[in-house]
Amino acid sequence: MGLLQRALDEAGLCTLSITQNMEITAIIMPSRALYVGHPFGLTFGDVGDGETQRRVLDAMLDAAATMTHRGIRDSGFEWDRDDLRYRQLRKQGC
Amino acid sequence: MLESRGANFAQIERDHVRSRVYAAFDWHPFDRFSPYTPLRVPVSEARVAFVTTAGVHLPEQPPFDTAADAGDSSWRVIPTETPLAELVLSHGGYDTRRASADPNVVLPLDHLRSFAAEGRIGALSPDTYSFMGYVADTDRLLRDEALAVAAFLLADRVDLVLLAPT
Repeated sequence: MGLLQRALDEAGLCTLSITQNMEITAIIMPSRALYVGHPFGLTFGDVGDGETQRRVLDAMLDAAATMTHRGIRDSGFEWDRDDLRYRQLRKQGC
Repeated sequence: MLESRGANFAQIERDHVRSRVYAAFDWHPFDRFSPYTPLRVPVSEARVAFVTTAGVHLPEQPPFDTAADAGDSSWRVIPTETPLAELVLSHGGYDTRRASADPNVVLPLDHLRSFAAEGRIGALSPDTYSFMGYVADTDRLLRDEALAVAAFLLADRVDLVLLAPT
């Protein structure tokens, strides 16, 4: 995702991405990213949780409008309903 | 934040890919951010495009190659008006069952369409661009595929490109 964003940035497009891992994004360094601490495969929220999905999307739009310099913004979205993300980050589950 | 609990996911991911899939894999590090183009209109007037790496495609399109060791850098164009129930997923890097049950978890087109109808955004691009997130050999992605998608987005005169991983 970060490499793709970099290519769009180089083409002169205005971009804003979600990152679910700051360490990788810090290596790739795309222009602007919003950190969301959700599990992989549940980027915008849980199945059927339309409210959270909308809030994450809204946070992307807000970041696109208000991030005036490059870097990563922490959205504050975290995952506390189970250990899925913890296991994914350690390659102990998908 | 889970990343701060001592595990370095970038290293874990690199070692995982090297040991199980693609021995030559390494991250492509950069020493500076890519250029930043400001949003030139209010969000409520912006023409917005969406790019996903969820491996989403139409049933009649070829699936992404989830068996290739070096990944698949190809992409699919999905009409943004496509009902989510018509989409299928092919991706080897995450459990697609959740996204198959509710595609909005990775590709929130229902919410984007609502935002356009409500005036939160100005308009949606007629096309959504879909990649499959596992691309270990990035040369073709950077040399050809990403530039082709950039050309379509520029021709569409989009104001903002949102990108979401899985």
